[in-house]
Amino acid sequence: MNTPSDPSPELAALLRLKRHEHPPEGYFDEFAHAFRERQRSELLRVSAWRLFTDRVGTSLLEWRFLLQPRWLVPIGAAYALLMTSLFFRQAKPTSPGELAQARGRATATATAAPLRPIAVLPLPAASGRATLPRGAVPVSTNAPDAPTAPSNGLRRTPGDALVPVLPSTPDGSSPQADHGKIIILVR
Amino acid sequence: MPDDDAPQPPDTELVARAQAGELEAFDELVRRHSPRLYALVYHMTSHREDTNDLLQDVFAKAYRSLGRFRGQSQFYTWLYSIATNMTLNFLKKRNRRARALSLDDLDAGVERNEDFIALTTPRSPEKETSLKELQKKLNEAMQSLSEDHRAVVVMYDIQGLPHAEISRIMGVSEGTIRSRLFYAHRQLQSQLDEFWKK
Repeated sequence: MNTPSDPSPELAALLRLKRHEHPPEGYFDEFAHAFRERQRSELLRVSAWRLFTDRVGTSLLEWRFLLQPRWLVPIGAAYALLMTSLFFRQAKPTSPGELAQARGRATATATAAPLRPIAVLPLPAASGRATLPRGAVPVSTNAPDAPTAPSNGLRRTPGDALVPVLPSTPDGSSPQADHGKIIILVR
Repeated sequence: MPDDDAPQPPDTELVARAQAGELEAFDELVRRHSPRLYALVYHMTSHREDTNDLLQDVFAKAYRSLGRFRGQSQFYTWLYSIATNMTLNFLKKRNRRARALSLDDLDAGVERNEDFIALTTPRSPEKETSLKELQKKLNEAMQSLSEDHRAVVVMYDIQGLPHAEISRIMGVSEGTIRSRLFYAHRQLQSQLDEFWKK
């Protein structure tokens, strides 16, 4: 049965006649031979190029694994760790020798200049126990390891803050400041 | 000497062997499919040298792409797709007009063909001359079609492929194929009607 897209019988016959249009005798044998020659020569060319790339690749083979994705994260992490440690190494000293040197420099600076009092304040004594100002460090002049205190009974802190000197208790409990005064020192 | 009566291996087996690197298997596929592909390309280009060059390129590309062929379609459908696309691209780039074909391109066996007999009966020199002119007119009309319309006419009317197969080869719906055929036939018919009325 003809469909709307079918041609007229005459046109269909004319078109079918074109099936008999063929190339000259022996064409397909020649074609297959020519293609075979072309294909083999292309393969040889490709092989030569592949041989070259293989040789180049082999010389780089020992390091090629570093380019694999699974190695990128560890390599990146190691690099980041190295950079971080270098940064902090420059930011502050970490070795004991460097620390001792730094402490020595600070102590020398702190003890070099004499202190002088600029204000004397009464030490707060609420409920029998002193509330020390922020940053003040109570020390006892009786303690065996106490540093030499200034004659005014105060000890300097690194920032030259005010420090009341409190008497130590015989049983070793926290010193109490029942009475006394705070002297503000400046260099 | 190969035995012509020996059963030929199917395309699937030859493709698998070619994919495994056996060049002779691909040679056999070339021998097997080149006549039909030649006809496809030749009727679309109407030029022997272009057809030969294109066909070489088609098989070269097919060989390079063979690793990607997964057997989801028949091998010849896949091959037809490559040939059709390459030929359409070629034709769209080509500016020159192809030469008109003539009945000289017909093989010797055409005289026993029932279409030929029907078109030339009663036999007379005038009738045969008329047929040659008709054939020439048809070729000119074919060349006036767009490349896409010509491709479906070649595959459907000349090569006898069903709509569904052409649809798969060209990657468009069957409806599009039928539509293209309808307009192509109407255009061919209108150009040949003038000749038939004479």
